[in-house]
Amino acid sequence: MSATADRIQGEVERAIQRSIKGLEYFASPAPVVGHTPKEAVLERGTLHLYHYLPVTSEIYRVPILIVMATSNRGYILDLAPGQSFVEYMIGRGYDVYLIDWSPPTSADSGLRFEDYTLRFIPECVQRVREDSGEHDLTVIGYCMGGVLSVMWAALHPDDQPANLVCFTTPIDFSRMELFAKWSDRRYFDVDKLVDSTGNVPSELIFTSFDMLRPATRIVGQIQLWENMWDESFVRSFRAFERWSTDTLPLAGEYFRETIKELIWENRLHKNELVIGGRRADLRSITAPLLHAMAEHDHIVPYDAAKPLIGHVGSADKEEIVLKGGHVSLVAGPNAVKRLWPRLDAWLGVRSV
Amino acid sequence: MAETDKDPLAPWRDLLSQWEQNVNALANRTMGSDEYSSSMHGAMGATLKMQETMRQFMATYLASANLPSRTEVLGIAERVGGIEARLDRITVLLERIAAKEPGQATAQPAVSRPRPPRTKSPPSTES
Repeated sequence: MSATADRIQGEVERAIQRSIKGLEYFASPAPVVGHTPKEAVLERGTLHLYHYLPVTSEIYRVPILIVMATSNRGYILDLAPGQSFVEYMIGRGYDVYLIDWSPPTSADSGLRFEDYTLRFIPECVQRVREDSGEHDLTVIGYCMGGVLSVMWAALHPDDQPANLVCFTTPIDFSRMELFAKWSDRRYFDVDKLVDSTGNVPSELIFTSFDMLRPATRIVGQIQLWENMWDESFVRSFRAFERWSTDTLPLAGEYFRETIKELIWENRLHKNELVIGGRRADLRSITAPLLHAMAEHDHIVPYDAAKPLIGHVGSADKEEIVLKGGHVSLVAGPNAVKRLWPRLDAWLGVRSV
Repeated sequence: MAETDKDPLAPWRDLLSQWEQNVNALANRTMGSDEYSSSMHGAMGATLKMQETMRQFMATYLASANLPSRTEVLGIAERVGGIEARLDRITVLLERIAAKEPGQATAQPAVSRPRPPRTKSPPSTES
């Protein structure tokens, strides 16, 4: 009886705290994200290359270059102290660089796959080599950042990274079923959209992601209210919320190519993709490869991502499927316990 | 005793989770249909057409009034933003050069922050 009374008393206290903190919530400023100290190494319009300042007395020989997804901000990998992938990696002794993207301007609307894979990434690789003084580097790509990293590696068989790590990277786009359905060529006039808008608006990108799980946003708001008494939950929720609504527009030509070459023709999976007159043959990838996927990924389902391991020519390759979703795989409290230590164990021995 | 440890709100949370799954599944089934794709893109096509017509109309009107269009203003804003960003980068480079060689202006961007040695080994092989 006394336990039940305590429980009820606890719930009443929480209800009071909810009301007080609920008011604070609406009056407080947006959460601070991307706190880990860094310096800009290279900037080219939409492209920003950052170097995170090392915090350990010695670091691994091989630096890491992270390629962020083009549709979202890189601060998902540096969300909050204790929930930052970058902070974790530099704390473990890695030297970390990150390619982040800002909204493309109208001058960037003509950017194509070849700009990302034959110009942006190679230039960043070169700058990392100059800045670190090391030729070898590990490339880590997240989602479409993984796709671009895979394309880049396939296009450079003679200049492979020391290691290639992909997080939830789609290869068989026919298995991203809702996206494939929504961009059905019988109904979707991608030329009309791109020709009218130049760059594809961020609202469209946000809505496309949001519509995959229409009830989840509502439930999220209910859970926020329920946990309003818990400051750490609210802080984490707000940081994720800020990130998920902070989608980027996509360069028009890049979007057109994504729809036509990847979704309609599925050329990456068929190994038929030609970029800048060169074939991106996935069998040319020989670098050690780790592909991490999420069991409940509603954006890049396992079936869309799993062919990567089979396609590449690497002798040293491994895939891991972890509990979680597309974002919780790489960020948040579950990633701290699951992906990050697994990556550290795999990468540490390959970074000396 | 186990009953006293039970969360009184657990049934509500289960219900909420179940509702979320059901609604998402139903919505995915609906949105995965040909009819949905067809109507969604029909609506998008109509919106784009309307926007294009409005844009053309406004561009003609603004040109006749000798005023810049939104696209032109945004273009100028982007160029100004680009110039400011470039100036910021030049300023940073100049500051670094000045910090490294106070009496000498060279064209070399000196980015020579001291770095830890690249000697780390994975924990299992560390002595």
